[in-house]
Amino acid sequence: MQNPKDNIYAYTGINLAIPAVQINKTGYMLAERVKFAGNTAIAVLSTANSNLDGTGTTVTLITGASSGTIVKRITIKAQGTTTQGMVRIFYFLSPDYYLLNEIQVPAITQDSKHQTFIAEINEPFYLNSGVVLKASTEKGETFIVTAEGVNMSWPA
Amino acid sequence: MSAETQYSPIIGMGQISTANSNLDGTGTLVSAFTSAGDTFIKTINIKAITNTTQGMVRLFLYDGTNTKLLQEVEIPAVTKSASDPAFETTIPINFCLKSGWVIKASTEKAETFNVIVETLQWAYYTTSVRSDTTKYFAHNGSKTLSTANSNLDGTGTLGALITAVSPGTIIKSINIKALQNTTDGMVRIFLDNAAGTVRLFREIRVPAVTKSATAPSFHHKLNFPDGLFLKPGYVLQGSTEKAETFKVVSESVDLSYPA
Repeated sequence: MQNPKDNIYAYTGINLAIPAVQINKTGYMLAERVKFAGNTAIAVLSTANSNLDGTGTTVTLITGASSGTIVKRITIKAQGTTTQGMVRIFYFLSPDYYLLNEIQVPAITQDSKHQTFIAEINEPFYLNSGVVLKASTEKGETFIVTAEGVNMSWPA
Repeated sequence: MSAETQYSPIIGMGQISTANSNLDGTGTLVSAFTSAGDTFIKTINIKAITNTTQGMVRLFLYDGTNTKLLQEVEIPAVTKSASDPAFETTIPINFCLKSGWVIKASTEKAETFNVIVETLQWAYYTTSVRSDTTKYFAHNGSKTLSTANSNLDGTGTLGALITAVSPGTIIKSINIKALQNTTDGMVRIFLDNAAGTVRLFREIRVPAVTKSATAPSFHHKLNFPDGLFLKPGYVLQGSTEKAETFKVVSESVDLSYPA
């Protein structure tokens, strides 16, 4: 249950005397001099792997840069007909795998009028330096997995 | 250009259990947070660790002399179980607290609640006048939970999910993913001040899910849209009600200011 009384403004009905401390959703603390550099990564999955523990064939998708990487979106696009299955995303901190997400793949027969399966994970994720996102496919079908990332850095 | 404001996350934790029906600040009150400098009170989290009956939790301001009622939080009747979370709520406060003042709490009924106060103490960089130079660095934590622990009091087997670093860490999300079939159960998140105090913070209900090649296992992402500001050294701990394996990945950013 989150704030059942909806009383967010109950005690802040006036503007705070020190506006710089209005952190919530005001944009303060966001005026930093951060630089973003594009870090788009592509992985091709095709080897069947039914494991949830990171064993078997997994493919490297994107690696966190030195100050960290924000993975803004992951797109999964089949390159042909699919049967019911799963694409799995792992967080890999060597030597350990952590299953992050499973994306259900439906049966879709591709032809000249029917597009192949596509899915997007639209949940930005901060990735630590050196940490790797990996992916696998339940069935031996080909998927193109694209990660849209930006690396963070600051001037000296 | 104004002076740069620098923030230090500080978390206060109090536990209330003695019945007190007074609104005037008399009777048993517990200090949940004491301000050591100008402080922005961001949220107050109230988490029961017992069954609750209809009642009230009261929050007070103490200025060193007087105790004034700040807010009342209605408590519903909730019967907890291995798969039913105890009462919890997060109240956005957004209140500037003077140095030395105290947030206190009391409970109408003799039921036990953790009162967790999320704050940001602020100071100004005075060496020179400069704009905001806050830097954020990605910081992940990862842990496998698999040992059954039904306790809500912080005892039993816990796994450290992430530890905050200086001057503070902002938790964005906690991703919980089962590696196997699950039965009705619970994953619990605790706040640990690394000084012997461990308090229940959140419970995530785990439903019975049978995974297969085409059916995903249990997955839950606990999001903190405004960030959970964690004091340096504080640890988020996790536990699982049932002996089932969960992979937990925490996503955060560390604050940093240039010298």
